[in-house]
Amino acid sequence: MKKNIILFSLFLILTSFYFISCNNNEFTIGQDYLSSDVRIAVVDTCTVNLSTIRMMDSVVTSNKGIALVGRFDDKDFGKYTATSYFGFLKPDNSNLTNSDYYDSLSLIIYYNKYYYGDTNQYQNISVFRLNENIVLNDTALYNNSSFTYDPAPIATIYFRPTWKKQRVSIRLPDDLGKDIFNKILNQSIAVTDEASFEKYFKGLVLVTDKSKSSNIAGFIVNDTSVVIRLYYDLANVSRGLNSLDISVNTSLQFNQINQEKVSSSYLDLEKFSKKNNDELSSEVTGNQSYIQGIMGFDVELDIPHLDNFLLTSDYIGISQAILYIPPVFGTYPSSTPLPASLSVLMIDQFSNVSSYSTATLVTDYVNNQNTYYEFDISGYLRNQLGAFPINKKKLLLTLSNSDFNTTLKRVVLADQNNPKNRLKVQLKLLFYNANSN
Amino acid sequence: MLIRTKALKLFFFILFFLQANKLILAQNTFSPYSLFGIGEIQSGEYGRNAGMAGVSIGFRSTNFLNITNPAAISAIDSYTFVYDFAGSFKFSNFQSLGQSQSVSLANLGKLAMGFQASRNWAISFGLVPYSSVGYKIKSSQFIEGAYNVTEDAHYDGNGGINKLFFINSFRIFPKLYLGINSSYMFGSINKNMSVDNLITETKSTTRSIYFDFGLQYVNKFSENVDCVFGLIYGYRTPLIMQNSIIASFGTDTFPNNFENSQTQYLPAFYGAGLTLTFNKKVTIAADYQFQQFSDINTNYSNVHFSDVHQVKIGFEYLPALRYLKNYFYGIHYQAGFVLSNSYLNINGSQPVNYGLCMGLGLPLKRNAMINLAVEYGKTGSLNYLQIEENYTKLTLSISLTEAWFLKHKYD
Repeated sequence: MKKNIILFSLFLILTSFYFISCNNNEFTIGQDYLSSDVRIAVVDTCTVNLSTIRMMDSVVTSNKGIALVGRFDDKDFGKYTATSYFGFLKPDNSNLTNSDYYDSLSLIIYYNKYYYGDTNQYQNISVFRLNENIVLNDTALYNNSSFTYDPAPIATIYFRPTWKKQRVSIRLPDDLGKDIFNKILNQSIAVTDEASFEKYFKGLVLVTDKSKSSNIAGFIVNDTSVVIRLYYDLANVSRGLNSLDISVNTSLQFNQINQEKVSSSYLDLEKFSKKNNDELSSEVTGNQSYIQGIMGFDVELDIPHLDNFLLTSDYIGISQAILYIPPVFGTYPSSTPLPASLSVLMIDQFSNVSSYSTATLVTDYVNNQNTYYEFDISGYLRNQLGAFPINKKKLLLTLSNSDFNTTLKRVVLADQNNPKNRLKVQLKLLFYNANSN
Repeated sequence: MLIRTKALKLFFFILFFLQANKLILAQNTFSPYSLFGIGEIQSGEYGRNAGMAGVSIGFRSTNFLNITNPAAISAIDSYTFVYDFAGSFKFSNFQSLGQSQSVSLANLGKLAMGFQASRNWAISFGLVPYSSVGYKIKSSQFIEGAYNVTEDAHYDGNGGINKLFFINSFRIFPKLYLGINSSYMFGSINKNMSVDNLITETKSTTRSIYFDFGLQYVNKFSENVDCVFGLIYGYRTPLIMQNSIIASFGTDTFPNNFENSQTQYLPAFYGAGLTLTFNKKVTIAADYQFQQFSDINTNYSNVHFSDVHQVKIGFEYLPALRYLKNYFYGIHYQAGFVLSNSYLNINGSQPVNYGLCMGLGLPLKRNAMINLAVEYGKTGSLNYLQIEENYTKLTLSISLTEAWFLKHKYD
């Protein structure tokens, strides 16, 4: 019995040896003998191809809450002209009486501080009456939609975009105003029924004078900010206090954008036919590629030889992959500022697009030479490395959703051979050879 | 009742064995030396002879399972079970080029049982570690294409090769004993590396049957001088390491695993030993052993294993054969010295390893014994290997004996 106790206690001592094993720290002694099976390398010699791609020949511009009007000569993209079309809803119900007097009619719009181009210049904006109704093309209207209007303007203003919001009131002709006033007074079907009102008053279009315009201005579009206001006087009451509104039909408001090639631009619009998915390699457009949301130009980015890395070792780990894409120096004067970010999408073989990340603008405020868009592509590359050809995807750089069809923002991106500033890629790769020992 | 107690004890031994199996398979070393080949070769010498530097080829004891020379198992008393358990605690200090790092580790080192099967035949079986891998090393790696930038790579290894042995020991002539040790060698070695998000895990598993042999010749020089001369021999045996490598990067596991195999060898060895005992009180023993470690591939181009010549000298003094009056007269007082060249040969140089031991054998009733030993030693060299280890190792072992069939006589 006593022996069993001794045996048991010794057993405990021996097993406790195991548990008192100390938690030993990592050594550095011995590292000289370790021959690593892993090579770690920073690589910047990976080919990145850029091309300008036009996924769609038209971009939805209706019902976007903004009316763009003006003209601007962009030496990189050509001359754009923005024209905004408005359809209207029938007037508010009112209780005009025979004792009331017509006063005046005005189109009231609000400048929303958005501009592009030279704000030192006034532009002439003319108001025309539409000859035909604005009809949706399926569900929307596009940058290339067009409707005819009476060639004689009914009003013209001089407007200069500034840093402040502005209310802009455009006096419309009194014969139009009186006609509407009388129709309301008589409760004519032309102003009480929506369809009849559309036939009677087809809408307005704001057109800039091409010869006197060097900026494009944006105006707010919603039910209360674009109105035709009819002022009238009650008997014995001082004038101007009473009005009724004819509000914009927001779904029938759209911006038509016209773009003409200029000789200074490599962006040969003729080469982009109406067919979708046309591409133009940066090599044929002066080692640069073009993003412009409202005309449908995006930049497609491809890393064609990624799989060559697989030939060098058994396994590749992509630790870090960062792309630095500079806007071409000299293509972003203060009149056409750079977007603060770009959307990065993935596009597969069948043109299906999925979101990936955001490229952020890093601005070199000191000498402006080292400004670039930066984004991480390591996840994309890990996904693409060794993928079957049918699963290969490319990246698509576009304006962000909030920018692409409501602004005229655009970017010219440099490729790896651009003489001014170059696209750079920085990869940190780990090469592992399983059988090196 | 008696049979039930036996059965219960055997049951507990097996249970303990299975449990200890896990413990012995656990980390047995923590040393940068264990990077190479099949890991750090374990001496396997614990117990009665630990205080005598593990001198064992010509060593025989009735209450100790000397598995180094399988012929020695035949010394077990008739009708007696012998159980041997041993564990150790090792404190090491490694030095290299101005760096000094310390480590301490405890482990179970031996678990064995033996008995006499018949008058001229004894059997022993058990488990001992053969080689052990244990390291955690951080290494700075240069990044290509970046000027003078390094990244830490982390290496760690564990596991080892274990020896499940089965010894048959025979008295073939009145003074000549032969032992045959049939071992099942098995184990796995895991070597992992991580750098950045890359993790590689290499697992090498192996199993092999291994035989080694021993002879002991027992005689007397005179009335008061007992003499044992022993020889041991083991032959080179291939050890196929099956390697499988899994690599992953972050959440991606690389699709195909690498499988390959490598042939290592359990090295051939031979040795001779002589033990002289005067008046059954004073023992002087010496071993010489040669081990052909050069057969083992280190897997490192600048590191090779060299053949080892090893000399051990041990001394034991027992004040009295019976300790009726004073317990201290019954204690075995031991000292020993071991000297060898290092089996590690880095950049063509081989330093000398040595160890100095002292030990006490504390007798218990019925021929059982507790042995305590302390060894101080040095392996490697700052001059040659660039790594030097100075260690202090405490060993505790227990040899228990129990009568088998005649127990009722003692009870």
